[in-house]
Amino acid sequence: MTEPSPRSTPQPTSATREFSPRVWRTLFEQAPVGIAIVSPSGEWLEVNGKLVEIVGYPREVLLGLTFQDVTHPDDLDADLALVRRVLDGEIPSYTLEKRYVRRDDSLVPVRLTVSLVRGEDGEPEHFISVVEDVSERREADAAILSLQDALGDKVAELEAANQELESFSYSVSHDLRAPLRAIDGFSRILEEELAGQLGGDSLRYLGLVRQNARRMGVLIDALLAFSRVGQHSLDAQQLDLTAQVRHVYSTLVLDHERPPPRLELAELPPAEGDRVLLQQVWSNLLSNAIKFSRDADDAVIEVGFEADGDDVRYFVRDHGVGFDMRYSDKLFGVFQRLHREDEFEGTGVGLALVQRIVHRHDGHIWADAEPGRGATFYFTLGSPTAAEGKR
Amino acid sequence: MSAIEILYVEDDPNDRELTLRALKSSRLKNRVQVARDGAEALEMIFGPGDDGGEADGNDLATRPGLILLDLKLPKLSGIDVLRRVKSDPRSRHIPVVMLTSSREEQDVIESYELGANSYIVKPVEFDKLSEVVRQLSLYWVLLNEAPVPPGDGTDGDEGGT
Repeated sequence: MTEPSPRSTPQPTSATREFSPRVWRTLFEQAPVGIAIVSPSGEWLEVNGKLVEIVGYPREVLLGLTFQDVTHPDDLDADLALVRRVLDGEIPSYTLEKRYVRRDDSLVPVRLTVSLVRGEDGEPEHFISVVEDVSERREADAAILSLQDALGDKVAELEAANQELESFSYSVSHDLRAPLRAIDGFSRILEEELAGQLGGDSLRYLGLVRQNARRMGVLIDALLAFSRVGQHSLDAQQLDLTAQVRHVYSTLVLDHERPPPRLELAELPPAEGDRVLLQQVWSNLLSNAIKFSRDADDAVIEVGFEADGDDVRYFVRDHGVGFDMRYSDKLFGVFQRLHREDEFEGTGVGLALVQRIVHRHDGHIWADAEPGRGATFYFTLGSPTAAEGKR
Repeated sequence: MSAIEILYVEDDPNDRELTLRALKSSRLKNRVQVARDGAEALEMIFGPGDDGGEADGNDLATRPGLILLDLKLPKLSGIDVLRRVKSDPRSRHIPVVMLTSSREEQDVIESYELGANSYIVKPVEFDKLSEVVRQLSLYWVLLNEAPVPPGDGTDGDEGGT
């Protein structure tokens, strides 16, 4: 006589409250999952209403069959292997997903949990099977898959649209620049040839024609750059931002007529980002700082960072003309400006471009300023690869 | 010395007029020949009915000494002309300067990959265009040593000097 296997399922002890057989029967019948009592060799001994519904055979017919009879042949081997292991005492129970074949030959996917009740002598007595119909979940899974497919299609559509937009922007910028060259060119020639003959106002008008042609060229370039930030795929690298700032600043002040503002550049922590796009960020922020410091002698521009644990805030600070914080929500809008054209030239696109780039790097940008005291632009850079994943 | 010193390929009549005027102030206008599209350009380089054949009856010495090439041309594009010029042994020694409004990186890269000698973006402002043309001409016509054309290649032999 062997000891009862310690790995069989827990048996009811005298500590469990006893209920009448009628209570157990009702529990059995009312359960919203299929429950069956099965012989060690697989015969259905007792089945509840839900199980009959799931397996799709009338109760009387089912009780003359084994579970092997109604299991899908492809799933049978796995099932039997697990049954073997339970009978051997290797595992106390198992859970398996398989399919039953109904009487009408339709298939029903189920999740099955089987445990073994042993007798006092430790020998296998009955299997208890709990059966859940998982067809709804399968349908949900299929729905998810088809949604993913549809999403994939939409993404492909969007990418195609983006490509179209990119080539549209490209040809637009080409095609628009040509007439501008003609307008500026022929006005200039007129200026030259008629300089002696035209009165002051006429010459001035010609100058305005040229000025506006140039301005339009600048606007087209800015818009093109702005639209292309969206198309350009992020090429993330480790960047030496200090070197980048130094390089950008030296290029910006090359053409400067008057002595340029002094740059105070701190050693910036390196960051991961797209070199070309971040160069654009520095270029726009620094050229703004230079431009708005124009009226100050001995101007200083500070570039540095503030660290808050792992978070780094880069900033560009000038002590120039500043702006009124009341209008700060317009700061990053396209074509929005906080200064009149006759005060300071500009397209109103530069900061919108910077914001777009910073956002593509999963970062934030904001500013703090006071009229007459200057402005500080802060930005953070997140992980560009994470940001691309969200796109 | 080539009969055509500078071959200027440009389809836009306004751009043509403005650039020629700029070339005039650099005193180069009489050394310039104009092609109005890619097909005309190839005819001027290789002779009429150019088909890539060797017997073109055109003396190598009359090929242009410098080609100013716009990218956006009807029929044959600037890139196509560049490719033809730089792949043909009769013409690939000719310096080609791309003079175009495109600043697109792909255009720049492709041009250099096909063997362009220089890439200049046409400025919108006429004053700047004049200055660009002036510096271009000074460099390529006066400063730069023109290559000696290969032999007498009508039957395809790569000659020495």
